Amino acid sequence: MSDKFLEIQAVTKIYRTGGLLASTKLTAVDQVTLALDKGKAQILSIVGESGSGKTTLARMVLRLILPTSGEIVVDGIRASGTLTRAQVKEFRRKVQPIFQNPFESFSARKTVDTYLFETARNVWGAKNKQEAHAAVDQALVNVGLSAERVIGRYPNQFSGGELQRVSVARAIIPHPELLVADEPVSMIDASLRMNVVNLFKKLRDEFNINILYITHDLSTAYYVSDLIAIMYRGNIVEYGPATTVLTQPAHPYTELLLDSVAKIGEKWSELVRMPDMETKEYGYVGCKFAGRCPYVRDICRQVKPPLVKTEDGREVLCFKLTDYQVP
Amino acid sequence: MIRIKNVSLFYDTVQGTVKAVEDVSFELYDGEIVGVAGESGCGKSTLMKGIYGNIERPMYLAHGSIELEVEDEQDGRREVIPNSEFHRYWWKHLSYIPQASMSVMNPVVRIKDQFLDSYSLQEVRNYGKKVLIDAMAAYLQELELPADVLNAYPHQLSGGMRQRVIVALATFVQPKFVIADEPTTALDVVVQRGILTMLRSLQKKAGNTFVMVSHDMGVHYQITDRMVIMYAGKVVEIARTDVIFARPLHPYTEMLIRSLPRLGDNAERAGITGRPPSLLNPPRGCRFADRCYLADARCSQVQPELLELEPGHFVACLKREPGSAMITLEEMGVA
Repeated sequence: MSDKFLEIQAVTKIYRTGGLLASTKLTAVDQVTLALDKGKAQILSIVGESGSGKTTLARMVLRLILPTSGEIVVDGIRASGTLTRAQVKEFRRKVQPIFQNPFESFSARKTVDTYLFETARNVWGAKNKQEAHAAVDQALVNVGLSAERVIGRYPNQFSGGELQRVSVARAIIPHPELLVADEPVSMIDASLRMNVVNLFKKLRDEFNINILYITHDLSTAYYVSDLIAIMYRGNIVEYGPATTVLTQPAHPYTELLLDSVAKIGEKWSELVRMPDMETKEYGYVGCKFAGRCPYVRDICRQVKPPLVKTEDGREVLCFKLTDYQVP
Repeated sequence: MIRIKNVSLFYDTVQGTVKAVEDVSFELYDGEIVGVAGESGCGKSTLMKGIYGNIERPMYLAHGSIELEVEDEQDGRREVIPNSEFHRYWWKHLSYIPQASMSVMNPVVRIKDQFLDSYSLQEVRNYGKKVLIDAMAAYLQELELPADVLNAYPHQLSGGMRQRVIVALATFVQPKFVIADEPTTALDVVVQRGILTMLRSLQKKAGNTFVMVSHDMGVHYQITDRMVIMYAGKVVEIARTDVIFARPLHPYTEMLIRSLPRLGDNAERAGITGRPPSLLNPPRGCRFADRCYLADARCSQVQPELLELEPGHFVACLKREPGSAMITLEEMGVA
């Protein structure tokens, strides 16, 4: 047995678009390797703009799609391979999703508790009504809601923040070990976001649940995460402890991202270079960021950049760190 | 200048009347960027529709007036136009950048044809199609957009590109007022910065007025000159943006600014607990009272008025009225 709880090994996902004859390949996720240790739970943020492949990666970890190549192993279960029915059931219990828009993840015509009880019966395996009720009650208390506030109500009777907490409650009913949250706060008002984000911290600390937090919001990622991976066009360009990466960025793209955050207390300078057509960048031979990088040299356009391990525990995909030499 | 006087905008629904905006007054001066902030459901989008003059059933103007004051191009006379006539000034004096750029463009019509739609047949005949499209292409180039987007269909462009095209369309004829409703909410930080700096430089160049709705206080800090803070259908604070961030006087504004995490700052942050009241039947007193750290019994009984406490700084809070002791979150040890 390995000492890793989650292992993502050289995972690649290629999509084909277009017709039979004129199909083009698009590498949405390109040779991504990430891992979470066993033991104390951690929050790993995956940050990137739309089209960076972060959602594709999340969907592969959730086993909603299978990778083209590479391995994903969650606590001994190969999410990327063929599983028996019993293994699928076990996997669904261990790994639970939280989606972006809570108003879309619940049907407007069903009371939200329907979903809670279904999860308790089918995923957690509650044998009777009492057990299901106990599990639902406990989960709701754990997210700071109460059964009488939630049961029998429809989604439109909640605010976005509350409803997202209900979906977190649903996800924690089967005592999962990994939550995959894809942009869980981007549809929620800024003033209510912190309630959900703080809840993630609580789940990590009190229930030892690992969280894969997928987002484009750097400030909540900084606030909540232990580790952070910055994705750009399918590659992880920088990976390491969240504080280090977000306070002393090593990759030029991380730098650009941090400069672009609408901060309070520090104004933007001049105009920034906007991205090329996205699909064009996917096809770049060398570094995919080369078209926008202020430190670009010829070699970056021709050769795939090396993955450099730095002394402060980071992995950076950039020629700048090897003095533009192929190692 | 746009004058908003005691405006109430209501919706008729099966459950009753939703008082989305109630008794709101302020003015939009020429040549400024005004930010409107507040959480979803506070009435900011409804108010923008009202200011744009796009009031359609079930929404209606229950009280008050919205007036547009424009200078006549020929004789420089100032003309006052009532809200019901605004639609005659759309595009030329008043234009609108909507939030969901994905869904505002017709997916089966090329961008250039959608652009020509903003002109009447008469105008297209007068100027000539080619002249108009060339002018538009030149304008797009100025905004660093490839001119061939004019020949593209909306779905061929990425979200950020589409939003930039919308901004270009809305500002092409240099309208006096541009209303942008959450123009960058669904976009990534880099694209967001690109669009916002573009908006700001367009505004500087043309000297027109921008009204921008956003729930992101960081965005307001970056580009607005003055801010209007709304809560549950009421304006609770108006001030210059630097004043809002340096010295917010309404507890809601204060909590709105402080609830956000910042990069490089590890302090624990709590969101605002509770939820805004129902606008079907808003409470009698201050609408923020049950979520407010300063509130006392009087707050839930008496409706606060928007008072000018310092020149240009308006606040609607009983606890901030002259003579009341000023306490901030910091002094209470809450923050």
